Amino acid sequence: MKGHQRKKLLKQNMKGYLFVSPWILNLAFFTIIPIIVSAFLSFTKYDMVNPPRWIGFMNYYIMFKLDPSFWKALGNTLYYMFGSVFMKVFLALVLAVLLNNVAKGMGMYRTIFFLPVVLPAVPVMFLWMMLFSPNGLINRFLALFGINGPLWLSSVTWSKPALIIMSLWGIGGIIVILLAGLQDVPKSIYEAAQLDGANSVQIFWRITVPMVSPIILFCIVTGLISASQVFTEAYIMTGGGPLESTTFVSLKIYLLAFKQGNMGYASAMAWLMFLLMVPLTILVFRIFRRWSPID
Amino acid sequence: MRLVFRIVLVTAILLLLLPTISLSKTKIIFWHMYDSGPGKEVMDEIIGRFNANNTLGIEVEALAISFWDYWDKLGVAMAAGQEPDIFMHDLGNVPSRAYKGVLADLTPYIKAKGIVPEKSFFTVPLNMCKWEDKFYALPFETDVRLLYWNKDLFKQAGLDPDKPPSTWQELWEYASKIDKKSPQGTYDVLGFNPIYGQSYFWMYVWGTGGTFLDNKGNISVNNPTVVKALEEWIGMLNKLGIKELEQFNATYGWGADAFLAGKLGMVIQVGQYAAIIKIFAPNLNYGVTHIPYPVKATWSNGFSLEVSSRSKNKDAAAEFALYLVSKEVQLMMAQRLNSLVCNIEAAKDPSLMQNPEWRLQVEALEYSQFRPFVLEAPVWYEELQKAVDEVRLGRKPAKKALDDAQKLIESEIQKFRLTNKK
Repeated sequence: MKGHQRKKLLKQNMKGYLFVSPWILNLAFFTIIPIIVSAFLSFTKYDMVNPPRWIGFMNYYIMFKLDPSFWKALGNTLYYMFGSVFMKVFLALVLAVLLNNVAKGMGMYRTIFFLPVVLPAVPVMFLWMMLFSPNGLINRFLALFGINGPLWLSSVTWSKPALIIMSLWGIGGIIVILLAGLQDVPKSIYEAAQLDGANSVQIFWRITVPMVSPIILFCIVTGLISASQVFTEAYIMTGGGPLESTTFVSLKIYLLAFKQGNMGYASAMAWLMFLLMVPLTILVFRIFRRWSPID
Repeated sequence: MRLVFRIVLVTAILLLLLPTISLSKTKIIFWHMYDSGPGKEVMDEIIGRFNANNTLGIEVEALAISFWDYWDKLGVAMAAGQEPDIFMHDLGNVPSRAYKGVLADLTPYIKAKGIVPEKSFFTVPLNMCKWEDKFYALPFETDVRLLYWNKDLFKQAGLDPDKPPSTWQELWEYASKIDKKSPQGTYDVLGFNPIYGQSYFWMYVWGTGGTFLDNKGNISVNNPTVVKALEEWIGMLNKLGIKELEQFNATYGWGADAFLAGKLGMVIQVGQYAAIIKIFAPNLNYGVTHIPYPVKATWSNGFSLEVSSRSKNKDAAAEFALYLVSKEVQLMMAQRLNSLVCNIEAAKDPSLMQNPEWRLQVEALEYSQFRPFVLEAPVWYEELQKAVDEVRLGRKPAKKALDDAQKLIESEIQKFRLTNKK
C-alpha cells in the first residue's frame, strides 16, 4: 500500500520535478559541487595548471602566521559590513516612517526611492567615482560651507566611509520592505500612545521600532551577509587601494585565485571566511532575540 | 561526348578534393592582442603571408582578444588545459609559467634554425625569456620610457627650449620654473609630476644608481640606495604638495592627458607616445630625450611569444613563433605600428633609424631594464609601491616602510617555499 502511494505521489509530482530540474541541476553543478571541490582544494597547492597537491593545513597555517594582509582584508570587510548595514537600516527606517505618514502619492515616492536599486551597478559606480573625485560635486558642495573635503577614494581614512556612503544608494530595497512592515502595525496602538501623551520620538522608539523589529532583523542579517561579499565596488572603483584600505576578503580571494593563480590558498581563504560568517550570523540572531520584545 | 562528360566529372571530383588536401595542413591556434585598428590589419597580413606559404604545410588560426580580456581568458584556458598552441604573454614573468611546466623549451628550435639569440635579439628583453639557461619564450615586442618636454612651456619659463634636463637635479630646477599656481593653490601648469604618466619610483632608484638586488642577487627593497632614493623622492613630492598633485592627477585622468593639453612641462612616457601626440596634439611643440640621470636608466616591459608544452603541434607552433620574430615580420611591425621590436636587425633598419625618435628608443633599449623577476614573489614590486604610498601619505618614515615591505616580500617567498616542492 505504502509503495503504491509513493509511486502515485511520484507520478503526480513528476511534472513538477521535471520543471524544477534545470534549477536543481544548476544548483548541483555550479554551486554544490564547486563548494565541495573548493573545500578539498583548500588543503592543496593548486596553481590551475598542475594537478592539486595535498599540503594538509599549510594554507591555513600561512593565513594565520604569514599573511597579515588577510586579517587586514577581514577588518576592512567587517568595517564595511557593519558600517553600511547599520547606516542603511537606520536611514531606511527613518525614511520609511516619514513615507508612511505621507497622505498622498505614496506609490510615487516608493518608486523614486526604489529607482536607484534598478540601475545597473557598474555605470552607477562610475558616476560615484566622479562625485567622489577631489574636485567632484561632493567636495564642491562641502566647499560651500567652507569645508575642505577629503580625497575620498584616494584617501586611506576616507575610502571605506566613501564606499559606505555610496552603498546608501541601494537603500530603496530596505525602505520598501520596512514600509510593508509599518503598514501592518495596528493603528490602535499609535492612537493609544498618543492619548497617553507620548511624543513622536517616544512613539518611534517605543512602538515603531519594536513592532517592526523582526523585519529590522531580517534586513540586518541579509544585509550583513550580502555586505560580507562586497566586491564590485572595490574591483571597479579602487582596485583595493589606496594601501589595501578597500581590499575586502572577496576581492582578495578573486585576486589570489585568478590573478596570481593560487587557487588552493584562495579556497582556504573562502572557507575561513565562511567559517567566520556562520557564528557571526548566529550571534546577530541571538542578540536580536534578547533585544526584541516580540517573538 | 561521353569522354567529355568523364573529363568534366574527374575534374569536378578533383576540385572537390582540393580543399581536403589543404585541410591536411597542420593546424595551430594562435592568440594575440591585436584586436582592432591598424594592429589587426597588420597582424592579419602577417598571418596571411605565413598561411600562404604552402611549403610549410602549416595553417595558423588566429584569435584576437582585447588586452583587457586577454589575461583572464588565457588564464582560464590554461587551467582547463586548452590554451592555444602559441600565444602572446607578459615578457616580465616568463619563468613563472616555465616553472609550472606550461611552456615548451624553444632552445632546440632556435638552434635548428641556426639562430644565435644573443646576436639576433636585444639582450635586455631576451634575458627575460630564459629560465634555467633555456629559452621558454621569444621576445616579441618591448618598450622603453623616455622624457618628453614641452618646448613652448620651456620658452615661457625663460628656459632654453632645446636644452632638456640631463640630470634629476636639473629636472627639479627646470620644473619649479615652469610651475604656475592658481589663486586657490592648485596647479594650472606643472613642471614635472613624479606620480603622473609612466613615472615610477623604481626608475628613479635605478636612475640614481640604486638597485633592488643585494650582492647575492636576492631581492632587497630596504637597502640604503632605495631608502635614500625614497627619501629624495618623497621630499620632492612634499615640496610640490601631495594634495595638489593628487588634484592635478584627478583633473587629468580619464583620457585627459595633461601633457597633450599643454599643462605639463615634462612627462615620462613610453616610446610610442610620440605617435599619440601626432594624433591628439599635432601642433604640440615638444622634444624627446633620455630620462635624466646620474645613471642612465629606464624601464622596459613587453610581450613574449610562448608555445604550450601541451600542444600537439609544437614543431609547427615554434616554426610560426620564429617567423613572428624574423626580420621580415618585425620590420613590418616597427614600420607600420611603431612597435619597438626585439629583433636587432629589424629595429636597426636604416629606414627606421633615420627617425631620431626611433633612434632614441633603440639607444635606450641598450641600458634599459625590466623589474627583476622573483619566482617566489613575482609581484614583489606591489609591496614596494605600497611602501612608497605609505611614506607619501605620511604614515611611516621611508626606512620603516621599506623594512616592512621587505618583511612582507620575504614572508611571500617563505609562503611559496612552504607550498611548493621541487
